[in-house]
Amino acid sequence: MGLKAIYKYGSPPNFYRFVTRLEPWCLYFGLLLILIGSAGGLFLSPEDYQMGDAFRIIYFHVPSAYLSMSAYAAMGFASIIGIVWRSNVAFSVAKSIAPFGALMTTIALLTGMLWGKPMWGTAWVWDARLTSEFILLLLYLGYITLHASIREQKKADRSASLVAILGIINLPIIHYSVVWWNTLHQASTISKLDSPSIVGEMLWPLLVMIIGYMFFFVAVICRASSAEVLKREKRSNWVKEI
Amino acid sequence: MSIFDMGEYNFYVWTSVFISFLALFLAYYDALRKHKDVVEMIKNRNQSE
Amino acid sequence: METYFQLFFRETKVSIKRWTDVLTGIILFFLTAILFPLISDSGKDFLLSIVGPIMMFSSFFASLLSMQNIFKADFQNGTIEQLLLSKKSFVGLIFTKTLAFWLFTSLPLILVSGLIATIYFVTGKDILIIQMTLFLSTMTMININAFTAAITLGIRYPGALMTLIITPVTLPVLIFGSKAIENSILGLDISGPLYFLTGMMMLSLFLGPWITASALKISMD
Repeated sequence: MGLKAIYKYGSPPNFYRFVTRLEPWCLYFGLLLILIGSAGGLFLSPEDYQMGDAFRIIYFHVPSAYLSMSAYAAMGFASIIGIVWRSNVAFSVAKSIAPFGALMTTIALLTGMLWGKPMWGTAWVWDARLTSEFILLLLYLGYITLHASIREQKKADRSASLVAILGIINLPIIHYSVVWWNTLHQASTISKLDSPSIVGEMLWPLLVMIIGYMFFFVAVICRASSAEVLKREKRSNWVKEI
Repeated sequence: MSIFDMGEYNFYVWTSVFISFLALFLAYYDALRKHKDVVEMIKNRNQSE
Repeated sequence: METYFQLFFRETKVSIKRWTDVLTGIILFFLTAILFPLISDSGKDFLLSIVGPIMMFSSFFASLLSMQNIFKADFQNGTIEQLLLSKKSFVGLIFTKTLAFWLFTSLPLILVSGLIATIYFVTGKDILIIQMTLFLSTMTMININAFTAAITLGIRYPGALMTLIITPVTLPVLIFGSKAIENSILGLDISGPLYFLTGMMMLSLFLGPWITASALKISMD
């Protein structure tokens, strides 16, 4: 791949063209996978003898949670590239990821609560995973709010990027703190909330959903970051030809 | 029994499905609208020049 | 070296002149901590069980509120630009400023905490442990809050935004701090949390001024 490819797509017009062409493929493929996965998970996969039909929620909970975390990693990575290479394109990508990531985190938390309530009688508990996910939401909201509060574009980009990078370092520390706290309490809730081992016929819709969500995510980011790039470059020549 | 019936967990499962799909739809729709707005704005600028 | 001392003395003079600001932080800490026994079941067991979280929360809150203005006044009267232009290390200057701020806001807080601890029925050695914990955690929080203040410089009402950004970063400090206090009262081993707190303090002392300086440079352009 090499740096040359990065430089080539790093320029706004190339990025815009690449992303505009990429989007439909990701969108339709992603939607297809999500449809197949949902149908498979909701209707086809057999009922769990322990949990009945409630486990089907994980087909929506797990992809959202997984995506919320990888989106944040992507946002942090884009922020680093933005600061190091002073790339407007990278900052646009980071800015586009934030609202989608926040939305995914919220859905992960909500579906988690909807799963927890009937399953274990409690919608929430302060164990490491749930706490970290909640903190992740705060991190996203901090980024979005900071970016929106600073009027000047470049300053907003770089300040928010600093916060994103700080968040990446911070999240494992938080996770570890809560794990440590809980092991001291010997909370039985940890084992209670462990995902059951999932096997065979119940597994394939989950994988399909995760991959489908990923492609959908790429499609949304394509559209949002292309809009952002256009907005930033609105005075330049290549934009006039669109 | 209809395959749409999730037993006692009916409410929870279908609510999760609903909000998940809603979120996905909103995310894409938001991105789409942002894009449309920017393109509109640029077209107006081009016309007024 | 001389410049650092000059800056330190200047900060001292400013803090003394603005003693009301300094006092506000301490009063806030005191009131927040006092409020809980006042409005709830003030039995000895109950108070001893919550003194850890209360101490951490009160100091967090007081620190957050009194640090909103650490850079604001200097920003407005151009002092920060002067510091940037000086030949000395900007990071070192920020470190000095943060340290001076700690001395005048957090040190009194630590002393007052001894008084509060007795109100919470804490006895003997535990009071020292509480003060030690607050020492470590306020040092850490000062650096985190300085960074957040730097990054929100120029925003008109940064309070809520600062809280949003600060909470995730400060959470481990608060968790381990309250755990240390709780363990000490229960007679359990406190070395674990204290090691972690010290580690965080070291990390924030070294990285804090550097990242605050970067944030200030970004906000100043």
